[in-house]
Amino acid sequence: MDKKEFSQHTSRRFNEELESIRSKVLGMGGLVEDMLLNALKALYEGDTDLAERVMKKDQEVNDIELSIDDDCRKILATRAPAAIDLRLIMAIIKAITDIERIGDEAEKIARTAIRLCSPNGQEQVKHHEIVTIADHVQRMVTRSLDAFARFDSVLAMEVYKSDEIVDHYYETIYRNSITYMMEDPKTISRRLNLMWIARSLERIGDHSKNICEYVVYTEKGLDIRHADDPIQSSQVS
Amino acid sequence: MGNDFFGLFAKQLALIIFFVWFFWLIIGSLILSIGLVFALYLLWNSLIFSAIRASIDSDLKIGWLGTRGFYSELYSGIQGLIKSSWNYRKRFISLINEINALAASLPDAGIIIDNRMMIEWCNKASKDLLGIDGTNDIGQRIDQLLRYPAFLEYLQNPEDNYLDIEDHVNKRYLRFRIIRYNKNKRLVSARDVTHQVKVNEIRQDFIANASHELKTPLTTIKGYSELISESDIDPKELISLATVITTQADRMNKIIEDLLTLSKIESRSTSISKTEIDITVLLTQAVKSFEHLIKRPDTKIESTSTRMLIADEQLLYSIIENLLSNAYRYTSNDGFIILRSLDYDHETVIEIIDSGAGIPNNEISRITERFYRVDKGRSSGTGGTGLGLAIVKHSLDLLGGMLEIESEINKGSTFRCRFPIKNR
Repeated sequence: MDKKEFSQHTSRRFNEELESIRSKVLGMGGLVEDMLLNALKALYEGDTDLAERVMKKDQEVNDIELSIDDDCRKILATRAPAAIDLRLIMAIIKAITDIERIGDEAEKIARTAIRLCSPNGQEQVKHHEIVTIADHVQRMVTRSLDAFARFDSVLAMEVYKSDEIVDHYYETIYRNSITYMMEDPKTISRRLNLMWIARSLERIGDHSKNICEYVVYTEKGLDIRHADDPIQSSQVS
Repeated sequence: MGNDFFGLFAKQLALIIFFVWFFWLIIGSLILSIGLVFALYLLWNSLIFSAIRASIDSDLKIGWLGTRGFYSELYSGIQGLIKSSWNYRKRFISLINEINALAASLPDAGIIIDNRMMIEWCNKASKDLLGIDGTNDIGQRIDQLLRYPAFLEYLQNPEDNYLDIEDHVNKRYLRFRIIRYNKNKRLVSARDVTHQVKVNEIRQDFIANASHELKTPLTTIKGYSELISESDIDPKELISLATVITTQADRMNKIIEDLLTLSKIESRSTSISKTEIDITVLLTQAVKSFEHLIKRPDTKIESTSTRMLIADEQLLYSIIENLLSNAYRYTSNDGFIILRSLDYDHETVIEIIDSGAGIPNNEISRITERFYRVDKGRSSGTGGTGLGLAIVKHSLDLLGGMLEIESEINKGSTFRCRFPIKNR
């Protein structure tokens, strides 16, 4: 879909309202990407100040979510959007919930980083399994937001499919952690923390996947959620 | 009656003949006029076409129509106009092509945005650096594609000269600049500054580490001096306090000497006198110089090299001495150290192998930096100035050799100095 389809309304004001709301959503996405990056950096480097700054950012994300909700409500009430405009507004309303939850998960990672840096905890957690899953998840979040910015359902489906890899990484960490904990009970505390972080990252992957579903819905009008074969469904045009 | 009838008939006939004649006269004139206009039109076209052909085929000389009179001037004028417009067009196209080629070859990303932040144009590098594609992303808002919060803020208030941002997905640093070149247009440029940022990090680390290395002995000297200045100090203790001060002052002196040596080697201002060196003899001398050490793991020399190495003896000795000193410091008494020299077709290799603590893989690339320590807390108390490996690396550069490091945690390290034969 050509992005300019949103700019073809008779009312120039309506075009501007839609563009502004899209920019707000993607700005919120950028903020959340930054939160995730800094939360992981705080975790790897044992930087509690950075982790605290990440936690404070969550409030900003929540405020943007409320503001976007309000904008969408106004557009629905005053413009009565139809067809692609209606799908766009619906996608935005749903996507911001997922973006906000990515922020919540980043906040959880930051909180874990602070807990690990406490006097009884370890200083740094740069575990290779966490680094691998985190790199993949960060790329997923960025690419899903890119797909949302361009309304590129091909890219969205690529990201959608890559969630399987994150699930696979998560299962590996889960299995390894159980093995380590059974072998040596001293590792339980450390491994539990690793599992919490991996769980948060896996959830972030799922939220990115949801954003991709909304991209396909907006562009093609196809709802691939809960479909038996979402990839096949997305290819119907 | 009969005559009147005949007369009336004749008049009407004459009138009809007159009208028919007049009709054909008009029609004929019209056809003639149209024919004439058409002929003129063909003539005009042929002039123009011949002029265009002439302008393409030759360097536009005056054509076959002649060189005198009004028509000749008119024709020359038309030819001139065609020639200039044709040349302007060619020049314009070549200029556009040159600008496009120049923009495509620029290593920096360049994006032109309007007042509403819509992308109007971008070059090839913007695809590689920022993922913004010139074919699909024109008309898209830049703040929707580049979502770094710091960049969005900079886009609103570009007061600073530039903004550095870490691109976490591609693991690099980008430097953004926004330049308003027109009332409605802005140029957003981005450059990959990963190398500069890394160099800056190394510089900052150097300052912090050098300060730390110099401050540690200085703090001891200051503390002990204060103790001596107290009046009720036991004179017997005075000697031991003075010894500590001397040791720490020597340590500071050694650090500064090493820094000066390194600086000389780096700036290549040190003089080199190349001589033929027997490596086995040099290795034996180096080992002997450490005989006084109390903590001394088993040390073996396995020299198979028979080739005489042509190098600066003092510099080569300092390389081996530094590497051996590191090996002694990081290897326990029950470990071993092997000094090995080998001749290959194209190079001579000196290896110093130890069974010491080893170096983590991710640290190997940085341990030759000045004052860089694997033990960030500097709590191991192994001594040393932190400049040894930096001196080794730069000395080898000066001699045309190179340093290779292989290591495994808790198993040991191998420091390999390679001297290519072409440098002999």
